[in-house]
Amino acid sequence: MKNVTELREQLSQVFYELRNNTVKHTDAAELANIAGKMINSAKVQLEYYALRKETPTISFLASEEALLPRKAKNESK
Amino acid sequence: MPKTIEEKKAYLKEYYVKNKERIKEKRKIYQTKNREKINQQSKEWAKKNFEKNMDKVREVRRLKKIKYKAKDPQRYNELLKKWNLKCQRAVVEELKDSYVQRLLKRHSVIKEVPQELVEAKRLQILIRRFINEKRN
Repeated sequence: MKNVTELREQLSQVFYELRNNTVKHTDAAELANIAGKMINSAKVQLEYYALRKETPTISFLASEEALLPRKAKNESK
Repeated sequence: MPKTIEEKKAYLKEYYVKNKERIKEKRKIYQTKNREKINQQSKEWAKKNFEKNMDKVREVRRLKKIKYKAKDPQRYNELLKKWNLKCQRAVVEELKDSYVQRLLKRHSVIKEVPQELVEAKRLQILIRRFINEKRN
């Protein structure tokens, strides 16, 4: 998982599998726990920059489209 | 027979004044017979024209509120409390953005939380709740 969009996709997949009983709920709980840790670490990073009054782009929070260079973006359009 | 629109209007007004009671009675009978149909039609109309008459509707609601509050303030306060509690519960149960943002902003100095982070947190809470439900 490189960024938050991937994390979201992973979590939604886990939730889907959990509903279909294809994943043990202990495993799902562990995954949710790890996801919580990742979210909290992102939060801490946000807090750090908020206290320093800086607004850099955090690679974990920026989606793939935002990270792409402009040329590539225009080509995809 | 009246020919122009004004003449027609005057004729209809005169007719209404002459047969006022009979028309009212007829209307009442029709309304009692077709109450469900009329209610449904009015609901549909209100739904369709809500955006058009939003200011009017808001004004009517505001006036009703004031009237109700003046009539029985204690009951009004009770109902308001109940309504607020219901809304708060709905926000928590449906995991609305405001609730998830509140969770993320708790004990921190962050003013704005990115939407992507909110959605990830929402999914995490959903999984946790689902597992807790299963365990219980």
